[in-house]
Amino acid sequence: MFPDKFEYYAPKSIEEAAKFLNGHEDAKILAGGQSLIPLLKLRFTSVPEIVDIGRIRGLDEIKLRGNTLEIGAMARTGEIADNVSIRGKFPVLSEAAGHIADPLIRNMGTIGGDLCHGDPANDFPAVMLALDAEFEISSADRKRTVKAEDFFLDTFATALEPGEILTKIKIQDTGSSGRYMKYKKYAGDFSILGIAVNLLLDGKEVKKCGIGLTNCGATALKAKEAEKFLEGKEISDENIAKAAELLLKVADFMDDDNGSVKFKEKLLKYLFVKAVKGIGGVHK
Amino acid sequence: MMVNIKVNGKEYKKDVEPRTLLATFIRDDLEMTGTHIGCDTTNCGACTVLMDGKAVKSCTVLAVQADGHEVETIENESDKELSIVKDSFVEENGLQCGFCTPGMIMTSLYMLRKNKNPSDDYIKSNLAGNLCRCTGYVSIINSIKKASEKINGEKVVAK
Ligand SMILES: Cc1cc2nc3c(=O)[nH]c(=O)nc-3n(C[C@H](O)[C@H](O)[C@H](O)COP(=O)(O)OP(=O)(O)OC[C@H]3O[C@@H](n4cnc5c(N)ncnc54)[C@H](O)[C@@H]3O)c2cc1C
Ligand code: FES
Ligand code: FES
Repeated sequence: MFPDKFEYYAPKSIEEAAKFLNGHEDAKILAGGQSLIPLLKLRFTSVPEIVDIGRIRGLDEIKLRGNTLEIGAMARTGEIADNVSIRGKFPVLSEAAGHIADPLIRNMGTIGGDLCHGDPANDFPAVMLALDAEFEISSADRKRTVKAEDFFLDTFATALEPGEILTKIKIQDTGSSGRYMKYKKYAGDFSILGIAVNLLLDGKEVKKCGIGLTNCGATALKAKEAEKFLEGKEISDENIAKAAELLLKVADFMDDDNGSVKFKEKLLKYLFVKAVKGIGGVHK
Repeated sequence: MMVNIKVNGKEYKKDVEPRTLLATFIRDDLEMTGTHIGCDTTNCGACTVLMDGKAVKSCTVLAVQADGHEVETIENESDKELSIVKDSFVEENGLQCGFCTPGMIMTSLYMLRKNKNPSDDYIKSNLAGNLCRCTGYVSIINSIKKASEKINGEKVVAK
Protein backbone atom coordinates (compact mmCIF):
# COMPACT_ATOMS: atom_id res chain seq x y z
CA MET A 1 0.00 0.00 0.00
CA PHE A 2 1.16 3.51 -0.83
CA PRO A 3 0.06 6.94 0.21
CA ASP A 4 -1.31 9.17 -2.52
CA LYS A 5 1.31 11.40 -4.13
CA PHE A 6 2.64 14.33 -2.12
CA GLU A 7 5.45 16.84 -2.22
CA TYR A 8 8.04 16.35 0.51
CA TYR A 9 9.72 19.18 2.33
CA ALA A 10 12.27 18.82 5.15
CA PRO A 11 13.04 22.20 6.74
CA LYS A 12 16.11 22.67 8.93
CA SER A 13 14.57 25.10 11.43
CA ILE A 14 11.25 25.89 13.10
CA GLU A 15 11.21 29.25 11.35
CA GLU A 16 11.63 27.64 7.95
CA ALA A 17 8.91 25.08 8.71
CA ALA A 18 6.52 27.78 9.96
CA LYS A 19 7.16 29.91 6.89
CA PHE A 20 6.40 27.00 4.58
CA LEU A 21 3.22 26.08 6.47
CA ASN A 22 2.08 29.70 6.25
CA GLY A 23 2.01 29.55 2.46
CA HIS A 24 0.64 26.00 2.23
CA GLU A 25 -2.65 25.72 4.11
CA ASP A 26 -3.19 22.03 3.39
CA ALA A 27 0.34 20.85 4.16
CA LYS A 28 0.67 18.34 6.97
CA ILE A 29 3.44 18.00 9.54
CA LEU A 30 5.22 14.65 9.69
CA ALA A 31 6.91 13.78 12.98
CA GLY A 32 7.49 10.05 13.58
CA GLY A 33 4.77 9.09 11.12
CA GLN A 34 3.39 6.28 13.25
CA SER A 35 -0.12 7.71 13.15
CA LEU A 36 0.05 9.71 9.93
CA ILE A 37 1.70 7.16 7.60
CA PRO A 38 -0.87 4.41 8.33
CA LEU A 39 -3.67 6.93 7.64
CA LEU A 40 -2.04 7.97 4.36
CA LYS A 41 -1.43 4.37 3.31
CA LEU A 42 -5.00 3.36 4.00
CA ARG A 43 -6.07 6.49 2.08
CA PHE A 44 -8.15 7.72 4.98
CA THR A 45 -6.48 10.98 4.16
CA SER A 46 -4.23 12.41 1.50
CA VAL A 47 -2.22 15.62 1.58
CA PRO A 48 -0.59 17.77 -1.10
CA GLU A 49 2.56 18.48 0.94
CA ILE A 50 4.35 16.84 3.84
CA VAL A 51 6.58 18.93 6.11
CA ASP A 52 9.00 16.57 7.84
CA ILE A 53 10.10 18.22 11.12
CA GLY A 54 12.46 15.31 11.84
CA ARG A 55 15.47 17.17 10.46
CA ILE A 56 15.19 20.20 12.71
CA ARG A 57 18.18 20.14 15.00
CA GLY A 58 17.50 20.14 18.74
CA LEU A 59 13.78 19.53 18.43
CA ASP A 60 14.20 16.12 20.08
CA GLU A 61 16.03 17.37 23.18
CA ILE A 62 15.01 16.34 26.68
CA LYS A 63 16.39 18.71 29.33
CA LEU A 64 15.89 19.34 33.01
CA ARG A 65 16.45 23.06 33.50
CA GLY A 66 16.19 23.91 37.19
CA ASN A 67 12.77 22.67 38.18
CA THR A 68 11.42 22.57 34.66
CA LEU A 69 11.46 19.53 32.44
CA GLU A 70 11.60 20.54 28.79
CA ILE A 71 10.82 17.98 26.13
CA GLY A 72 11.19 18.83 22.46
CA ALA A 73 8.21 17.81 20.33
CA MET A 74 10.37 15.39 18.27
CA ALA A 75 11.55 13.43 21.35
CA ARG A 76 10.81 9.77 20.62
CA THR A 77 8.50 7.89 22.95
CA GLY A 78 11.20 5.25 23.50
CA GLU A 79 13.70 7.91 24.63
CA ILE A 80 11.16 9.28 27.08
CA ALA A 81 10.47 5.80 28.46
CA ASP A 82 14.20 5.16 28.98
CA ASN A 83 15.23 8.62 30.24
CA VAL A 84 16.67 8.28 33.72
CA SER A 85 15.81 11.74 35.04
CA ILE A 86 12.23 11.45 33.79
CA ARG A 87 11.93 8.09 35.50
CA GLY A 88 13.20 9.57 38.76
CA LYS A 89 11.16 12.76 38.81
CA PHE A 90 8.13 12.09 36.62
CA PRO A 91 7.43 8.38 36.95
CA VAL A 92 3.90 8.79 35.59
CA LEU A 93 5.38 9.99 32.29
CA SER A 94 7.91 7.14 32.03
CA GLU A 95 5.31 4.55 32.86
CA ALA A 96 2.86 5.85 30.25
CA ALA A 97 5.62 6.05 27.60
CA GLY A 98 6.52 2.41 28.23
CA HIS A 99 2.89 1.43 27.66
CA ILE A 100 2.53 3.16 24.28
CA ALA A 101 2.22 0.78 21.33
CA ASP A 102 5.33 -1.45 21.09
CA PRO A 103 9.11 -0.88 21.20
CA LEU A 104 9.37 -0.54 17.41
CA ILE A 105 6.64 2.09 17.16
CA ARG A 106 8.13 3.85 20.20
CA ASN A 107 11.46 4.13 18.36
CA MET A 108 9.78 6.30 15.69
CA GLY A 109 6.73 7.85 17.37
CA THR A 110 7.18 11.21 19.11
CA ILE A 111 5.52 12.90 22.06
CA GLY A 112 4.56 15.84 19.85
CA GLY A 113 2.81 13.55 17.37
CA ASP A 114 1.04 11.69 20.14
CA LEU A 115 -0.29 14.99 21.56
CA CYS A 116 -1.18 16.68 18.26
CA HIS A 117 -2.88 13.68 16.69
CA GLY A 118 -5.85 14.15 19.03
CA ASP A 119 -6.85 10.50 19.30
CA PRO A 120 -8.67 9.99 22.65
CA ALA A 121 -6.88 6.63 22.91
CA ASN A 122 -3.39 8.20 22.78
CA ASP A 123 -1.77 7.86 26.21
CA PHE A 124 0.41 10.99 26.56
CA PRO A 125 -2.45 13.55 26.66
CA ALA A 126 -3.83 12.24 29.99
CA VAL A 127 -0.34 12.42 31.50
CA MET A 128 0.03 16.03 30.36
CA LEU A 129 -3.30 16.85 32.05
CA ALA A 130 -2.24 15.15 35.29
CA LEU A 131 1.11 16.98 35.30
CA ASP A 132 -0.37 20.37 34.28
CA ALA A 133 2.05 20.60 31.37
CA GLU A 134 2.38 23.63 29.12
CA PHE A 135 2.88 23.53 25.37
CA GLU A 136 5.00 25.98 23.40
CA ILE A 137 3.60 26.59 19.96
CA SER A 138 5.12 28.46 17.01
CA SER A 139 3.79 29.77 13.74
CA ALA A 140 5.05 32.23 11.14
CA ASP A 141 3.71 35.26 12.99
CA ARG A 142 3.60 34.38 16.66
CA LYS A 143 4.64 32.18 19.55
CA ARG A 144 2.26 31.19 22.29
CA THR A 145 1.98 28.90 25.27
CA VAL A 146 -1.11 26.78 25.83
CA LYS A 147 -1.95 24.83 28.96
CA ALA A 148 -2.58 21.13 28.49
CA GLU A 149 -6.08 21.56 29.85
CA ASP A 150 -6.90 24.04 27.08
CA PHE A 151 -5.28 21.95 24.32
CA PHE A 152 -7.42 18.84 23.85
CA LEU A 153 -10.74 19.94 22.37
CA ASP A 154 -12.39 16.94 20.73
CA THR A 155 -11.64 13.77 18.75
CA PHE A 156 -8.81 14.67 16.36
CA ALA A 157 -9.24 18.33 17.35
CA THR A 158 -6.70 20.29 19.37
CA ALA A 159 -6.10 23.98 20.03
CA LEU A 160 -3.53 24.04 17.19
CA GLU A 161 -4.50 26.44 14.45
CA PRO A 162 -3.51 26.04 10.80
CA GLY A 163 0.21 26.71 10.39
CA GLU A 164 1.04 26.09 14.05
CA ILE A 165 3.78 23.72 15.24
CA LEU A 166 4.06 22.31 18.73
CA THR A 167 7.71 22.80 19.62
CA LYS A 168 8.15 22.08 23.31
CA ILE A 169 6.44 20.57 26.33
CA LYS A 170 7.20 22.05 29.75
CA ILE A 171 6.49 20.35 33.04
CA GLN A 172 7.25 21.65 36.54
CA ASP A 173 8.94 19.40 39.05
CA THR A 174 7.08 19.95 42.31
CA GLY A 175 8.37 16.87 44.12
CA SER A 176 5.19 15.00 43.25
CA SER A 177 4.93 11.39 42.15
CA GLY A 178 2.48 9.41 40.08
CA ARG A 179 1.42 6.30 38.21
CA TYR A 180 -0.13 5.50 34.84
CA MET A 181 -2.47 2.54 34.65
CA LYS A 182 -3.54 1.18 31.31
CA TYR A 183 -5.87 -1.65 30.41
CA LYS A 184 -5.48 -3.12 26.94
CA LYS A 185 -6.56 -6.26 25.14
CA TYR A 186 -3.17 -7.44 23.93
CA ALA A 187 0.51 -6.49 23.85
CA GLY A 188 1.19 -3.33 21.87
CA ASP A 189 -2.43 -2.22 21.68
CA PHE A 190 -4.16 1.07 22.44
CA SER A 191 -5.82 1.65 25.81
CA ILE A 192 -9.32 0.40 26.44
CA LEU A 193 -8.94 2.75 29.37
CA GLY A 194 -6.01 4.58 30.87
CA ILE A 195 -5.56 6.84 33.86
CA ALA A 196 -2.72 9.11 34.97
CA VAL A 197 -2.64 10.08 38.64
CA ASN A 198 -0.06 12.46 40.06
CA LEU A 199 0.06 13.44 43.74
CA LEU A 200 2.07 15.89 45.80
CA LEU A 201 1.94 14.54 49.32
CA ASP A 202 2.80 16.01 52.68
CA GLY A 203 2.76 13.02 54.95
CA LYS A 204 -0.72 11.61 54.43
CA GLU A 205 -2.17 14.86 53.17
CA VAL A 206 -2.68 15.49 49.45
CA LYS A 207 -1.28 18.93 48.67
CA LYS A 208 -1.89 18.73 44.96
CA CYS A 209 -3.62 16.19 42.77
CA GLY A 210 -3.59 15.74 39.00
CA ILE A 211 -5.76 13.19 37.19
CA GLY A 212 -6.00 12.61 33.43
CA LEU A 213 -8.18 10.05 31.66
CA THR A 214 -7.41 8.18 28.42
CA ASN A 215 -10.21 6.95 26.16
CA CYS A 216 -12.97 7.95 28.57
CA GLY A 217 -14.64 10.36 26.16
CA ALA A 218 -14.18 12.25 22.89
CA THR A 219 -10.73 13.41 23.99
CA ALA A 220 -8.38 13.16 26.96
CA LEU A 221 -10.14 14.45 30.07
CA LYS A 222 -8.98 16.18 33.24
CA ALA A 223 -10.91 14.89 36.24
CA LYS A 224 -11.14 18.24 38.01
CA GLU A 225 -13.80 17.34 40.56
CA ALA A 226 -11.89 14.35 41.81
CA GLU A 227 -8.67 16.41 41.88
CA LYS A 228 -10.32 19.18 43.93
CA PHE A 229 -11.95 16.67 46.25
CA LEU A 230 -8.65 15.00 47.16
CA GLU A 231 -6.64 18.20 47.62
CA GLY A 232 -6.26 19.03 51.31
CA LYS A 233 -7.57 15.63 52.34
CA GLU A 234 -5.89 12.66 53.92
CA ILE A 235 -5.19 9.63 51.76
CA SER A 236 -7.61 7.05 53.12
CA ASP A 237 -9.56 4.20 51.58
CA GLU A 238 -12.74 6.19 52.09
CA ASN A 239 -11.45 9.31 50.33
CA ILE A 240 -9.96 7.30 47.49
CA ALA A 241 -13.31 5.55 46.97
CA LYS A 242 -15.17 8.90 46.97
CA ALA A 243 -12.74 10.40 44.44
CA ALA A 244 -13.18 7.30 42.26
CA GLU A 245 -16.94 7.93 42.14
CA LEU A 246 -16.30 11.53 41.05
CA LEU A 247 -14.32 10.28 38.02
CA LEU A 248 -17.53 8.91 36.60
CA LYS A 249 -18.94 12.45 36.41
CA VAL A 250 -16.41 13.46 33.74
CA ALA A 251 -16.10 10.14 31.94
CA ASP A 252 -18.42 9.89 28.96
CA PHE A 253 -18.63 6.20 28.15
CA MET A 254 -20.41 4.34 25.37
CA ASP A 255 -21.14 0.66 24.92
CA ASP A 256 -18.81 -0.59 22.20
CA ASP A 257 -16.48 -3.44 21.20
CA ASN A 258 -14.30 -2.70 24.21
CA GLY A 259 -17.16 -3.34 26.62
CA SER A 260 -20.29 -1.96 28.23
CA VAL A 261 -20.56 1.35 30.05
CA LYS A 262 -20.94 -0.57 33.29
CA PHE A 263 -17.74 -2.52 32.68
CA LYS A 264 -15.80 0.63 31.85
CA GLU A 265 -17.05 2.42 34.97
CA LYS A 266 -15.92 -0.44 37.16
CA LEU A 267 -12.61 -0.66 35.33
CA LEU A 268 -11.91 3.06 35.65
CA LYS A 269 -12.53 3.02 39.40
CA TYR A 270 -10.37 -0.07 39.78
CA LEU A 271 -7.47 1.44 37.81
CA PHE A 272 -7.73 4.67 39.80
CA VAL A 273 -7.49 2.91 43.17
CA LYS A 274 -4.61 0.82 41.88
CA ALA A 275 -2.80 3.94 40.63
CA VAL A 276 -3.21 5.86 43.89
CA LYS A 277 -2.13 2.94 46.03
CA GLY A 278 0.86 2.37 43.81
CA ILE A 279 2.26 5.86 44.30
CA GLY A 280 5.33 6.03 46.54
CA GLY A 281 4.43 7.46 49.95
CA VAL A 282 0.83 6.28 49.83
CA HIS A 283 0.32 3.57 52.43
CA LYS A 284 -1.75 0.65 51.32
CA MET B 1 13.85 12.88 -4.94
CA MET B 2 17.44 11.65 -4.49
CA VAL B 3 18.12 9.72 -1.32
CA ASN B 4 21.37 8.40 0.04
CA ILE B 5 20.84 5.50 2.39
CA LYS B 6 23.48 3.21 3.81
CA VAL B 7 22.15 -0.34 3.88
CA ASN B 8 24.21 -3.09 5.48
CA GLY B 9 27.31 -0.94 5.23
CA LYS B 10 26.91 0.02 1.58
CA GLU B 11 25.73 3.43 0.34
CA TYR B 12 22.85 3.46 -2.10
CA LYS B 13 21.97 6.60 -4.00
CA LYS B 14 18.55 6.35 -5.64
CA ASP B 15 15.87 8.53 -7.06
CA VAL B 16 12.59 7.77 -5.29
CA GLU B 17 9.10 9.17 -5.08
CA PRO B 18 8.58 10.78 -1.64
CA ARG B 19 5.73 8.34 -0.96
CA THR B 20 8.03 5.32 -1.27
CA LEU B 21 8.14 3.34 1.95
CA LEU B 22 11.44 2.15 3.34
CA ALA B 23 10.19 -1.46 3.09
CA THR B 24 9.48 -1.13 -0.64
CA PHE B 25 12.72 0.77 -1.18
CA ILE B 26 14.62 -2.16 0.33
CA ARG B 27 12.60 -4.84 -1.44
CA ASP B 28 11.98 -3.28 -4.87
CA ASP B 29 14.73 -0.71 -5.40
CA LEU B 30 17.52 -2.67 -3.71
CA GLU B 31 16.05 -6.09 -4.48
CA MET B 32 16.70 -7.31 -0.96
CA THR B 33 13.59 -9.34 -0.35
CA GLY B 34 14.54 -10.70 3.05
CA THR B 35 12.57 -7.91 4.69
CA HIS B 36 8.95 -9.07 4.57
CA ILE B 37 5.74 -7.10 4.35
CA GLY B 38 3.05 -8.82 6.38
CA CYS B 39 0.17 -6.67 7.57
CA ASP B 40 1.32 -3.46 5.87
CA THR B 41 -0.54 -1.63 8.68
CA THR B 42 2.13 -1.23 11.41
CA ASN B 43 0.95 -4.19 13.47
CA CYS B 44 2.99 -7.32 12.71
CA GLY B 45 6.67 -6.32 12.65
CA ALA B 46 7.57 -8.66 9.74
CA CYS B 47 9.13 -5.59 8.11
CA THR B 48 11.42 -4.76 11.05
CA VAL B 49 14.82 -3.30 10.16
CA LEU B 50 17.30 -1.34 12.25
CA MET B 51 17.64 2.36 11.48
CA ASP B 52 20.62 3.95 13.21
CA GLY B 53 20.65 0.87 15.40
CA LYS B 54 17.00 1.10 16.42
CA ALA B 55 14.37 -1.43 15.42
CA VAL B 56 11.58 0.18 13.36
CA LYS B 57 8.70 -1.00 11.17
CA SER B 58 9.95 -0.25 7.67
CA CYS B 59 6.41 -0.34 6.22
CA THR B 60 5.75 2.78 8.31
CA VAL B 61 8.86 4.80 7.52
CA LEU B 62 9.26 6.79 4.31
CA ALA B 63 12.46 6.16 2.37
CA VAL B 64 12.98 9.94 2.43
CA GLN B 65 12.92 9.83 6.25
CA ALA B 66 15.81 7.37 6.08
CA ASP B 67 17.82 9.64 3.77
CA GLY B 68 21.31 10.03 5.25
CA HIS B 69 20.70 7.32 7.82
CA GLU B 70 22.05 3.84 8.29
CA VAL B 71 19.85 0.78 7.85
CA GLU B 72 20.53 -2.85 8.75
CA THR B 73 18.47 -5.68 7.32
CA ILE B 74 18.36 -9.46 7.67
CA GLU B 75 20.82 -9.67 4.73
CA ASN B 76 23.64 -8.08 6.71
CA GLU B 77 26.23 -10.79 6.17
CA SER B 78 29.02 -8.91 7.93
CA ASP B 79 27.37 -8.80 11.36
CA LYS B 80 28.59 -11.66 13.50
CA GLU B 81 25.92 -11.29 16.17
CA LEU B 82 23.22 -11.36 13.51
CA SER B 83 24.62 -14.66 12.20
CA ILE B 84 24.53 -16.05 15.72
CA VAL B 85 20.89 -15.04 16.15
CA LYS B 86 20.01 -16.62 12.78
CA ASP B 87 21.74 -19.89 13.71
CA SER B 88 20.03 -19.95 17.09
CA PHE B 89 16.61 -19.62 15.46
CA VAL B 90 17.43 -22.63 13.27
CA GLU B 91 18.76 -24.70 16.17
CA GLU B 92 15.84 -23.93 18.50
CA ASN B 93 13.14 -24.17 15.81
CA GLY B 94 12.28 -20.50 16.31
CA LEU B 95 10.20 -20.60 13.14
CA GLN B 96 7.66 -22.65 11.25
CA CYS B 97 6.44 -20.90 8.09
CA GLY B 98 9.20 -18.31 8.48
CA PHE B 99 7.20 -15.30 7.40
CA CYS B 100 7.67 -13.37 10.65
CA THR B 101 11.27 -14.54 11.05
CA PRO B 102 13.27 -11.70 9.44
CA GLY B 103 11.44 -9.23 11.67
CA MET B 104 11.77 -11.46 14.73
CA ILE B 105 15.49 -11.78 14.15
CA MET B 106 16.08 -8.05 13.65
CA THR B 107 14.12 -7.26 16.83
CA SER B 108 16.08 -9.98 18.65
CA LEU B 109 19.36 -8.46 17.50
CA TYR B 110 18.17 -5.03 18.67
CA MET B 111 17.21 -6.26 22.13
CA LEU B 112 20.37 -8.35 22.55
CA ARG B 113 22.56 -5.37 21.74
CA LYS B 114 20.83 -3.50 24.58
CA ASN B 115 20.84 -6.39 27.02
CA LYS B 116 23.22 -9.33 26.83
CA ASN B 117 21.42 -11.30 29.55
CA PRO B 118 17.73 -10.94 28.75
CA SER B 119 15.12 -12.32 31.14
CA ASP B 120 11.92 -13.89 29.80
CA ASP B 121 10.00 -10.73 30.72
CA TYR B 122 12.50 -8.52 28.92
CA ILE B 123 12.25 -10.68 25.80
CA LYS B 124 8.46 -10.74 25.89
CA SER B 125 8.06 -6.99 26.31
CA ASN B 126 10.55 -6.36 23.52
CA LEU B 127 8.67 -8.70 21.18
CA ALA B 128 5.40 -6.79 21.68
CA GLY B 129 5.58 -5.42 18.13
CA ASN B 130 6.35 -8.71 16.37
CA LEU B 131 3.57 -11.20 15.71
CA CYS B 132 4.00 -14.87 14.88
CA ARG B 133 1.01 -16.92 13.75
CA CYS B 134 2.79 -20.27 13.95
CA THR B 135 5.19 -20.94 16.80
CA GLY B 136 3.38 -19.82 19.92
CA TYR B 137 6.52 -17.82 20.79
CA VAL B 138 8.09 -20.35 23.19
CA SER B 139 10.64 -21.51 20.63
CA ILE B 140 11.32 -17.89 19.67
CA ILE B 141 12.11 -17.00 23.28
CA ASN B 142 14.35 -20.08 23.51
CA SER B 143 16.14 -19.03 20.33
CA ILE B 144 16.86 -15.58 21.75
CA LYS B 145 18.14 -17.06 25.00
CA LYS B 146 20.37 -19.43 23.10
CA ALA B 147 21.71 -16.53 21.02
CA SER B 148 22.49 -14.57 24.19
CA GLU B 149 24.40 -17.51 25.64
CA LYS B 150 26.42 -17.86 22.47
CA ILE B 151 27.15 -14.14 22.22
CA ASN B 152 28.31 -14.09 25.84
CA GLY B 153 30.38 -17.23 25.22
CA GLU B 154 32.08 -15.65 22.22
CA LYS B 155 33.00 -12.64 24.33
CA VAL B 156 34.63 -14.84 26.94
CA VAL B 157 36.62 -16.70 24.28
CA ALA B 158 37.62 -13.40 22.65
CA LYS B 159 39.16 -12.22 25.95
C1 LIG C 1 -0.30 -0.37 15.98
C2 LIG C 1 -0.24 0.96 16.70
C3 LIG C 1 -0.46 1.01 18.06
C4 LIG C 1 -0.41 2.22 18.74
N1 LIG C 1 -0.64 2.22 20.08
C5 LIG C 1 -0.60 3.40 20.75
C6 LIG C 1 -0.84 3.44 22.16
O1 LIG C 1 -1.03 2.42 22.81
N2 LIG C 1 -0.82 4.66 22.77
C7 LIG C 1 -0.56 5.82 22.09
O2 LIG C 1 -0.55 6.87 22.70
N3 LIG C 1 -0.32 5.80 20.76
C8 LIG C 1 -0.34 4.63 20.09
N4 LIG C 1 -0.10 4.62 18.73
C9 LIG C 1 0.20 5.91 18.06
C10 LIG C 1 1.70 6.17 18.07
O3 LIG C 1 2.16 6.26 19.40
C11 LIG C 1 2.10 7.42 17.34
O4 LIG C 1 3.48 7.44 17.32
C12 LIG C 1 1.70 8.75 17.85
O5 LIG C 1 0.32 8.84 18.05
C13 LIG C 1 2.02 9.84 16.85
O6 LIG C 1 3.31 10.23 16.92
P1 LIG C 1 4.18 10.40 15.60
O7 LIG C 1 5.39 11.15 15.99
O8 LIG C 1 4.36 9.13 14.94
O9 LIG C 1 3.24 11.42 14.79
P2 LIG C 1 2.86 11.52 13.25
O10 LIG C 1 2.18 10.30 12.80
O11 LIG C 1 4.02 11.98 12.47
O12 LIG C 1 1.81 12.72 13.35
C14 LIG C 1 0.55 12.58 13.96
C15 LIG C 1 -0.27 13.85 13.79
O13 LIG C 1 0.24 14.91 14.56
C16 LIG C 1 0.64 16.01 13.77
N5 LIG C 1 1.89 16.51 14.36
C17 LIG C 1 2.97 15.74 14.68
N6 LIG C 1 3.91 16.49 15.30
C18 LIG C 1 3.43 17.76 15.36
C19 LIG C 1 3.94 18.98 15.90
N7 LIG C 1 5.14 19.04 16.51
N8 LIG C 1 3.18 20.10 15.77
C20 LIG C 1 1.96 20.04 15.18
N9 LIG C 1 1.42 18.91 14.66
C21 LIG C 1 2.15 17.78 14.75
C22 LIG C 1 0.79 15.46 12.36
O14 LIG C 1 0.55 16.43 11.38
C23 LIG C 1 -0.28 14.37 12.35
O15 LIG C 1 -1.53 14.92 12.12
C24 LIG C 1 -0.13 3.43 18.03
C25 LIG C 1 0.11 3.38 16.66
C26 LIG C 1 0.05 2.17 15.99
C27 LIG C 1 0.30 2.14 14.52
S1 FES D 1 4.34 -5.21 7.51
FE1 FES D 1 5.13 -3.61 8.70
S2 FES D 1 4.27 -3.98 10.62
FE2 FES D 1 3.35 -5.54 9.41
S1 FES E 1 6.83 -18.73 11.83
FE1 FES E 1 4.98 -18.44 10.73
S2 FES E 1 4.41 -16.45 11.35
FE2 FES E 1 6.05 -16.87 12.66
